[in-house]
Amino acid sequence: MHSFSEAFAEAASLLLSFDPALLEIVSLSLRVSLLAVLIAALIGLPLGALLAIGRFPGRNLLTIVVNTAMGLPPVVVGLVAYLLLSRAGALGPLELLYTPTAMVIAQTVLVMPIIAGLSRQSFVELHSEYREQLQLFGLSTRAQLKVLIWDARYALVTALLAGFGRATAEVGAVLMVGGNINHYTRVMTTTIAMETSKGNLAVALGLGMVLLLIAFAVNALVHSVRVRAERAAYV
Amino acid sequence: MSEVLPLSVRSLTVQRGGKPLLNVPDWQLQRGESVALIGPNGAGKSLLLRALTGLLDNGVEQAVSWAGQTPGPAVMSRCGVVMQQPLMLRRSVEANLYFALERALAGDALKAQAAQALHAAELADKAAQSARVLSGGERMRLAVARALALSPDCLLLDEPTASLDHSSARNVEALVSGACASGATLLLITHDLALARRLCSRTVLMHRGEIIADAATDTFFDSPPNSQAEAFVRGEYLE
Repeated sequence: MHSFSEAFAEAASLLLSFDPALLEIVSLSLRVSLLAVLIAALIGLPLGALLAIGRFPGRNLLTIVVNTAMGLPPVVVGLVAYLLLSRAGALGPLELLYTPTAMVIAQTVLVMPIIAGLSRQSFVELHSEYREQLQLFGLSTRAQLKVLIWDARYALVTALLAGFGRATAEVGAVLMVGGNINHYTRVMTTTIAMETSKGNLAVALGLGMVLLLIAFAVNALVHSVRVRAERAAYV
Repeated sequence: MSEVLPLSVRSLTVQRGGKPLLNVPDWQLQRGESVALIGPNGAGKSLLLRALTGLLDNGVEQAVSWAGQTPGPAVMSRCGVVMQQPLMLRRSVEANLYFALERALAGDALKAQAAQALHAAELADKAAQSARVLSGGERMRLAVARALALSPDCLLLDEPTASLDHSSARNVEALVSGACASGATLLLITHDLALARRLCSRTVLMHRGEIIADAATDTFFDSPPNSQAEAFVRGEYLE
């Protein structure tokens, strides 16, 4: 086994040389996670708004379900997605198991509750502040929703970034439904797990550094969005 | 577009915990009138305004008729309402005005109208600032300008000059006076009796949730219609 410093140096060299195999893995990871966040946002943002503003039977129960799902264990999501997508499962005929699409589905299930839950909280706070004034403007519910979405934009971006952070970091679900197939479904987290078990620390460390860099970038973005909102007195 | 005036209130009662907070058996506001709603703190003036604008639940809106309609989006879109603590959207000063105007205008016409409204409210130099960092007086000026943006049929204002410095109060008064001159109906809640006399042709006195005097403003102040009105004008506590 390499010493830690040797592995670290080798990892840095792999990164700096833009190793094609490494780039392929990073690129697939980003594509899968970005697509999952996009789909999760399309479902999660309206769901968050509905839970915050809508009045319908079962709203409280659905809110509790969404909040609970914010902490879904990735392996459980992976297991359920596996059962659904496997040959005997309800979605078996689609033959999606061990494809990037299956990974997108699993990550969407993981991320959607996070986006829905965080956006619901933002909408609840803003709506309690704006509700009467929007009513006094004579706005329909639909028009009120447009105002809330626009004025909550910084908080909603933060919710999306939190979802993206979760998607890129998880390993259990994508491993179970993606299968970690070389050049096809191999992403950063699954590669790190595999290479570490093989004792190939350089690649694992290199990808770990990329993951950390992405986590740092996401956090920096969240922070700058907050600072920007505060500076502009939009909070 | 249907009329929203006259405004009629019949058998309006609001209770909380069995305690009556508002009891208005019969009251009207005619088109083109300018009415001052005065009374001691806690008299129910703001509560009446909330009832008139449909902000109270529990079927209270059924007692309020805006030319036959209960208060809702259709009515409120024809009214300009400014509450005591007007809410500024998380947007710039001019975007707060755009928001009010874009229901009827677009493009250059919208921008020109917003610029004119900002100028009238003496806020032209703060157009690009966030509305959330304006001073109290500036906020109120913007709120009044925003309420007036689409030339509403009826203006409902809750103490628009309270805590304002002299120049801001004068600006708000000029904006409201201009709207009234253009034909807007006004219901003004105020503790400033001089302002009520200058702006309003009719004065209504509320006490303990009830309207206890209602007369032409000159009559109200020169020869008050009853002993309680007389006491209030003299600055005494009401029994």
